[in-house]
Amino acid sequence: MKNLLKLMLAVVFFLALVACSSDDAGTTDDTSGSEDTSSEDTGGSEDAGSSEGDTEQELASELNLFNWGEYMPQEVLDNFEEEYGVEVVYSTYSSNQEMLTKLGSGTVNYDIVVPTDYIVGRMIDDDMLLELNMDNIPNFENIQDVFHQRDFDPGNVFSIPYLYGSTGIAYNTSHIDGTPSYADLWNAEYAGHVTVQDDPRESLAMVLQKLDLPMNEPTEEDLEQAKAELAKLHPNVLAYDSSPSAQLISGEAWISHTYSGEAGVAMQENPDISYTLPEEGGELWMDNLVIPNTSENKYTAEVFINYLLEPEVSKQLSDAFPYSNPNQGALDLMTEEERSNPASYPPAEQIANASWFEDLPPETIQLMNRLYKEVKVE
Amino acid sequence: MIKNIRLAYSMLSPSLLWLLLFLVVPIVMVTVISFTTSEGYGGIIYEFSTHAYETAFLSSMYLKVIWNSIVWAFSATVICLLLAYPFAYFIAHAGKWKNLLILLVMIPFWTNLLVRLYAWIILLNGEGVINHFLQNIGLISEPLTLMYTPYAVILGMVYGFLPFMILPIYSSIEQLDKTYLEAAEDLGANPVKTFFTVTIPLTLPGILAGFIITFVPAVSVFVVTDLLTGSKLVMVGNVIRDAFLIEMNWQLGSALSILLMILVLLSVFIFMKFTSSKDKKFLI
Repeated sequence: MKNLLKLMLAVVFFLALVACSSDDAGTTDDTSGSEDTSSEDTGGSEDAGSSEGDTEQELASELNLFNWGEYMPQEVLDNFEEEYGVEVVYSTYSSNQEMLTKLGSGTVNYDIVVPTDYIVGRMIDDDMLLELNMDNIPNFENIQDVFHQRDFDPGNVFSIPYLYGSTGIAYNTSHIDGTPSYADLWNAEYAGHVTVQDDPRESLAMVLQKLDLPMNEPTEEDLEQAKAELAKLHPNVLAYDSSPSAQLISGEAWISHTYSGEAGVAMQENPDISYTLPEEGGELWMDNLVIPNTSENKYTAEVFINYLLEPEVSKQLSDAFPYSNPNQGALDLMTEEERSNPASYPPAEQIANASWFEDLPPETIQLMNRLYKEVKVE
Repeated sequence: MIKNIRLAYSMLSPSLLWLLLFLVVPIVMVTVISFTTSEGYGGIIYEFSTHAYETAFLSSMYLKVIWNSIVWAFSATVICLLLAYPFAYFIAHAGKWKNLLILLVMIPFWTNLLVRLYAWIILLNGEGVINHFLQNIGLISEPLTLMYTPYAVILGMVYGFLPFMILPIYSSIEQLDKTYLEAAEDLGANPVKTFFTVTIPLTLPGILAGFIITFVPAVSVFVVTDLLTGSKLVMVGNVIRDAFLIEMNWQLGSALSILLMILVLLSVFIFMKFTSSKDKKFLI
């Protein structure tokens, strides 16, 4: 009997090892595969390099892209490699903090990273970014004018918009009449069918907006008040979940405080789901292409950014991942139906009414983290 | 049999090295980090500070979370014990089916707990299999709230950790010398009395081992609370995970880890003292 147990443990252990190692093998195969193609294509790349820049500005053979997971279609990278002969190595992260930590460690060397708006501001303040040479990025003119001047980077000296999105309300039209606002989350009729973003910053920003308090510079009293209001919402809540598309699709959640992208996914599967930015405002965020000061391939990075701004390429990005595209050229290529999707492209007056996230001092962030947890514990 | 102590150590060295690398070093690192200063946005400044511990103690919330976690984990462990003991007893007396039954207990281990919890979501949710079945046979008209309640965490923990309880109890029942039972019978004890005065005390080492290896992982779960309670229940595992990964407050995460380790060691120690006061050998 004991031998049998031992044997089973050995089998379990072996399977675990196999699982780990096959993962590794997969990644190595990928990289070696793409290296092969890059060497075949180098002939073409030299032509492209010399025609576009002077002698000092030659394309590197490799570009290290550090981007969010599920945010860059492989097709786009393959096409760039075919056209320019530059192999793009795509590594992923799952939070701004993770990206900052890895960059800060000094052991990595990325040519492009894609931070969210207020993180760009923090990186500019910390001298972490290189100024962009706009002569190499003529396609910037494709970006809609509204996104040219942004508080965190006036004049787009360091950053180029990538994709953007919003946080608002996804709702089930068969249960909810009219267009809901944040205040409707508190409606007792919807008890047990409400979901809220499981993130201190996001959920407290929502409550602050509902209370008409400043979302980007709350005082301690504001936050205490928001905490009390969130505690009142707690009995209504089905789940605190930042990806509630499954509950929306199944019909369990009727009204969700969530990302536009999540709503977009739910809308594809369940025709009863709709999305709106609430009358209180809602929140906007935008991810941006920047070049960290550790990059040694600035020119190549700029060529790649310019490539991403081509209308066809940019459309590939938002086709693969249903966020909002700030590229007018790409928008012009879309069908009327795609452009009128309220999750991806809310009406202009709603966008104007919504707020952008700004960076907060660490003390405020820590206070928000604590208050948010206290709501759940008490 | 090993005469040479050096030989003994050299044979142990791979496991000693393992313990040093993956137990001692991390604990030292966590302890050091818990006393450093936070840069604010996640960085660590190596200056002595007790700020993390002050935060942990000044806000009663963190101690309350740890206490709640111990209570939830203890309840789940007791339920595991009540389910596992008869089950293990049954398997140990199942004759030729023994190996098959033990295999069935172990098979779920071959799938990741996360995947198995998703299966529970499909079963439990308002539009899920169980609710549909009950509604179709007309037992209920409105779907029952089976998920997204704090109690769902008990279900998840009992389901996830039951094998940890069954296996050690099974092996101690299996090794039980039947002649003790015969002696008790010969001396006039009925089966119930034999069970409580002979079987249970003799299988206590298995019960204790099962209790500890169920309770310790249960107290620090976080995926179960995330998935089955809709993040409405916060256990200490969630707080520590969030401190490291979301809030980038490694100092607080480390301080809470240390506090949790101390409290778990203490509660295990109290538990063993309490259950084995009569017979020291059960401490093993």
